[in-house]
Amino acid sequence: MLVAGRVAGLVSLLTIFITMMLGIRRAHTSLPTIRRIAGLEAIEEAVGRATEMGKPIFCTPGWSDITTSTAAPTFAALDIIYYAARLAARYDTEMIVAIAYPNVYPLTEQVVRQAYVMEGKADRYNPGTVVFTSPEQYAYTAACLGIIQREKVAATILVGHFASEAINFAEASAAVNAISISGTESTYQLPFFTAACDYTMIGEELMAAGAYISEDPMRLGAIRGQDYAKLLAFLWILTGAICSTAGFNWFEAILNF
Amino acid sequence: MSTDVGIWVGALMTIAVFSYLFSENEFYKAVEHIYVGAAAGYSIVLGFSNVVTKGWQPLVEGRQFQVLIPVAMGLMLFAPYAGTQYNWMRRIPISFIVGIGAGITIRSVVIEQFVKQLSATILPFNSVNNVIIVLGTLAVLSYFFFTFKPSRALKTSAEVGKWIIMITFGASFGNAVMGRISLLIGRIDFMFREWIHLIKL
Repeated sequence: MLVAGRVAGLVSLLTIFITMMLGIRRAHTSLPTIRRIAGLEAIEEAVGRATEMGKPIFCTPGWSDITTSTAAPTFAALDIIYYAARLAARYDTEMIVAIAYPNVYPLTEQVVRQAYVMEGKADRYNPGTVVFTSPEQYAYTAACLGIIQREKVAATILVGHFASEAINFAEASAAVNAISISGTESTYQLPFFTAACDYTMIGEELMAAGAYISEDPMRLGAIRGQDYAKLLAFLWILTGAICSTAGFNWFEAILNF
Repeated sequence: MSTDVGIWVGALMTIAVFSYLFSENEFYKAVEHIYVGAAAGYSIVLGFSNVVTKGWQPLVEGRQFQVLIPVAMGLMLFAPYAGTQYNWMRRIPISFIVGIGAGITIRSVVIEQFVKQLSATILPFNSVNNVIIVLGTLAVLSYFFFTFKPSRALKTSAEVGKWIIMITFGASFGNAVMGRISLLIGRIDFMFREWIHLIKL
């Protein structure tokens, strides 16, 4: 019945599930306070700068689909794009959102349209705001680079999952003197974003930012629940390492069960 | 010089793409549009082929009526174009797609990115390397606590974690730059060897 090597995975999954449920349950009585995320705070500054300059903002939820393990950063990116779209609608600033995958297109279109509706400016929504490019990686890259250069955007918001195109986007933003805000869970691309962008949301900061913007108790509670799970992992590693030093390898053995 | 049309097209397009380094120009723009257009065309052909081979043929020729379910779900994605009152219809296939995706990936993610990481970090404090790995991981982990009250200990640990992240990024950046340079060398090699034959075969 039980497959060797997978029991620890199952127990971990159940533990994370329980901690998240606890976090969500607690959030209904008291909302957690999420620590300051610089990249998120910079979005208003970026939109304000674009408004002053009379230039558009460029956003993209990355080169990822919603059917794979990259769904989570894509959804977090859509929350951030929603937030940026609300600010853009409020200040009547043009926005361009480039999409790579067809499944993400209807979601993004709905999110941006909703942002305009929420700001009472549904009539100002331009259907050309959300642009479909291509799921082919470098066709998507070429299209985004072209938009950034041609439109001379004042700000770029690069959030979601990215692959090797990340540095191209960051460099293109720098070339047009745009303020660049990035965020990704991809550990391979984070060094590029950190080096070349003005603000970067590192890994889980992106998910936390998405939850923070949504103001949804369930998602904020889930962030608290994840913190509980991380605390357990922290204690497991620390205790495991101390026991291992003393010659007891129980903690490691349990993880291999 | 090469007499192969394909190599000429590849070489000229490479030059057009590299011209972006100076500024955006008509050559780059042309290549960009050809690339995006070709990729869009390829996607349309692939999509149409999927509809024919996985939808139309099984349904019409094979009388497999269960195919109607995914076909209907696919059509539901387009429902909002019939009117905003049908927006809700799009949510059903999207929820299905996301649910399936999450269900399939969750097992491997938990085992590969959580359990194995924990297991690899439980090391005895008997060498400098091990101490750095264990304490470094713990410090980085503390950087990603978002909702805990920021005590002095947590702030210090998170600050150390941030430094460790930056050092790691620096090393990773250098490694990736080397990879990119090897790609550049490959492209230059193509230009000089296969196109203008400056490097002898």
